[in-house]
Amino acid sequence: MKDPELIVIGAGPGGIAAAVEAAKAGVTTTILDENPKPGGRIYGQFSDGFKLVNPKFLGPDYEKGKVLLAEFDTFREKIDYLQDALVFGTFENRIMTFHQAGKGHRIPFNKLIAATGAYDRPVPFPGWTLPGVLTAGGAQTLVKMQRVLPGKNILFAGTGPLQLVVANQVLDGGGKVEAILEAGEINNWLKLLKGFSRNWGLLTDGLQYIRGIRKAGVPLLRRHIILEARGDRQVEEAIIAEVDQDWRAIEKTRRALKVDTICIGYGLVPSVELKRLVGCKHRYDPDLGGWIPVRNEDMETSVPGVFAVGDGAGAAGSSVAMFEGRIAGISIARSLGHLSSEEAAKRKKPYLSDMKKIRRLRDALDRISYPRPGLFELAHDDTIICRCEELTLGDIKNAIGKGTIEMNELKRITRMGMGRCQGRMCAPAVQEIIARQTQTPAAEIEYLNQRPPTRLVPINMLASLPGEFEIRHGW
Amino acid sequence: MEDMRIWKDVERGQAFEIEVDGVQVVAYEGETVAAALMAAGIRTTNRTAKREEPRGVCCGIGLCYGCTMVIDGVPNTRACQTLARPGMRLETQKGLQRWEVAE
Amino acid sequence: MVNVREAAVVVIGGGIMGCSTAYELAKKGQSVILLEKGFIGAEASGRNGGGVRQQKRDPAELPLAMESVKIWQGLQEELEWELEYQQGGNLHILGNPDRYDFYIQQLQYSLKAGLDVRLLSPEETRKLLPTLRKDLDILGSTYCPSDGNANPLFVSKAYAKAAQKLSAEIREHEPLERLEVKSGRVIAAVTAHAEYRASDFVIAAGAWSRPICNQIGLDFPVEVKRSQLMVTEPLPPVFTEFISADGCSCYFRQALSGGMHIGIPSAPIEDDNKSTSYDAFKMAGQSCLTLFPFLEKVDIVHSWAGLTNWTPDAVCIIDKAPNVAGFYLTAGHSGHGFCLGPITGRLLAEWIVDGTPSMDLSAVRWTRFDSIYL
Repeated sequence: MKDPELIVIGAGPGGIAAAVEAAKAGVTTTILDENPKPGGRIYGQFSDGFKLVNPKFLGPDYEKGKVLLAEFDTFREKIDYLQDALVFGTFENRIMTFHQAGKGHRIPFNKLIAATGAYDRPVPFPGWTLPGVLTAGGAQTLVKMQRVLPGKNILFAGTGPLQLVVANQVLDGGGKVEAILEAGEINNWLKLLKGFSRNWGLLTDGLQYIRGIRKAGVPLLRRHIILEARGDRQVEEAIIAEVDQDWRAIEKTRRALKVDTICIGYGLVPSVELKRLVGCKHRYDPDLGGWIPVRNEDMETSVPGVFAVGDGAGAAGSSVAMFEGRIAGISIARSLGHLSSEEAAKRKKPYLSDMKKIRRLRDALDRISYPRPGLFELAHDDTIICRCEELTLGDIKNAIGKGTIEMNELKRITRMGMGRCQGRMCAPAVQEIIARQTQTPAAEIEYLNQRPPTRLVPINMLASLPGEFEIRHGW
Repeated sequence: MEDMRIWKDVERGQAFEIEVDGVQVVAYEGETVAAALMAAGIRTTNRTAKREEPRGVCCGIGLCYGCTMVIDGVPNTRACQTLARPGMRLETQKGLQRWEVAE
Repeated sequence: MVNVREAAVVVIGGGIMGCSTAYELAKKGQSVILLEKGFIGAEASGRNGGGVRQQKRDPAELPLAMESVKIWQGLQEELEWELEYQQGGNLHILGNPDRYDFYIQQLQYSLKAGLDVRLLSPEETRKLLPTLRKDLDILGSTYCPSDGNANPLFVSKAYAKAAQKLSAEIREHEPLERLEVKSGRVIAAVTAHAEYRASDFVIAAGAWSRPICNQIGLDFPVEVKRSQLMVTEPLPPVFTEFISADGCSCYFRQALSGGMHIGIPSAPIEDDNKSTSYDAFKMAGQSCLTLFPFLEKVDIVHSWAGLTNWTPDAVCIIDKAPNVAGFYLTAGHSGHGFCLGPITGRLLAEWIVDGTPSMDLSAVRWTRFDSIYL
């Protein structure tokens, strides 16, 4: 089989939209999707075994997802879609490796679109490692795709409309929600949403969700934050408090809620490991979740031929992901000579225009929901920061205090970031910890060096990578 | 055993049993081990190596490695990324655990 | 106004060599300033496989390695830092009949030098290493119980901190811009920050030493090679030995924290690429399955690489400059310098302060190479 002209990593809205536009223009395209079915997180499809009887609980995303997946189906023959294919590295000479079906594979890439998505921001606070503390995304996966309630009495703590969606799904599923804590001021984004008439899939249905929550009698506590999770072997209680504008707790408002589950939803961190490995320049943007690749109008990064779209390039939601995907797919088709400049410009035009409009709303929403300093001050000295190596804030601060102020050196001395999560759960928080302790802007704190593998890979799959090496004659 | 499943709006496939620390637990076709455990109210999947603290499902998407267990003799396997299968043997992992070698 | 600083000795390079030298000099009451371009131990000293090895050494280095291990044994206590040093042994599995005689020869001169190395039969090897693949055809192994390993991430830093306690000045993120030479002597090391004057200068800058020497008209023949490693998720203790296998590309060391370190042999490289290659992953995978089936489903979590300087005879240089006064070089450790860190610092300090090192360093002299004058 000939090598594809384009490889797309990820089959969420960004990846699919990109692959569709590329295939439409005749680009030979391969999608590497770590999931068994396309759709990513937001348009994720049920595993075999489940039968969807009434899609209502999936909300308006379901219909949008169906439309996109149907469009994908019409190009299925032209796109080589590889399921359960997990990319774990890129190497010299534009070689990419992934594992699938128990084996390691290599594939050369010419043009690459990284549509790798994002993950819930890890927010260390006392007790956050207890069973029963989940991310809002983790809770959503359970409730939406597995139809299981994460607990008997659930507290949501976060910011922005995402957690309202999950709360509604829990309520719809017959679950009990004790309360929803919004760190910011909901009225601000209600005002915003009222000003935008079209439904961009940005949860302008926020109003609808809020209504649903009120109807169920669930308290929606503005300017409140989670302070602590308590329990012997799992969550039994949550300590919450009201906060000021900087999301710092107002001590006298501290109180306890009897809950067995806490879902944390303080924004998304873009998954940028592959892009960093390939050498893309990144910049730190707290509004968009942290480190994001620098891109031009066509979604191309600083590495020629490498494009980035969707939440993996800056958490901005499914509609933005789709527009970006389309723009990238069209741009690549143009660069490969499958489309003329005029045709490419024509195809891009509606998406560029839509994106401009939605960007304004997104930017405004992000300004409301970006993390305030108080979020990074929840941990106490005995709070675990690096979950894998079981290091506390005290351990980290100690090392920084002794002069280990660079993240890469901190990793070597304390072992932070050396665990299985490869720094995903700790490095974003450690960045802020170093910034605070050394009084340096977080954007100037160099992040962990990126080396392969970008995801864990079992040794037998490495052994089965193509290529022969003389181990020893006879062995 | 309790059941935290939502039965509204979906139909499930075949039910079968998996073994969790010697106890039979029901699971359904298409469920992840994490889902089956959460459905049964089982939330601790491992105890950490140093502090022996309980951990369980957290990110749900295979990135945090909080939900690791010994699954059919293989330690450090993420419950949220593993589909439950009939007769699967699950153990709460205690710290680092020896790997069984099929020779 | 140029900022001028003075010390008895300026050390350039903050790896194990530079830091041990700074410490040993400080112990002798010398004022020392150490200049490191990045952070302490950032390069090869902090990236290597961690082996503290005497066996399988060229006769030129063997006495040095043996003396160094004596220092290693008390080092954690001396530096007051947990180095995860263990004398867990070094096991080299023999499999290639064509190379057998070479290793026996090596064993023999090592025994003559007093090393506690021995030849193990295939059965004895398997008894020591029960996890070795059962159907592997081996000829036995050479085994040295006093060999061991340590955590490379800590050692340079531990030396630097101990040096600081004795009033040595350790300066990080200060790359050398140039050396100032006057009347056949180096008089200052100049950085963007200051001019550092001293009577003696020690170049211990690893793969970056050569261009520094070039500045004063000296050279030494080395090839830059990249050493690559990867580490698995933590495993319960499996073996304490540092393991290599004749002909099998990779070496293995289980750290005290549980991860299995897998080292890929050094290979020449054009640039200073510290990322890891496709081939490294393939080789690591195959080597693991060839030797240790229990690693089959274990995950690799991280990989990294470091740069090493290989001399034509794979033996290091520890010497005074032949024609420039007050200039010392330790370089060309050819991927196996870690063990020699402690003894090198001690000998250089003796040479500088007492006038002569307490061991014969003629086998590692600079002048054994041709064309070292530019």
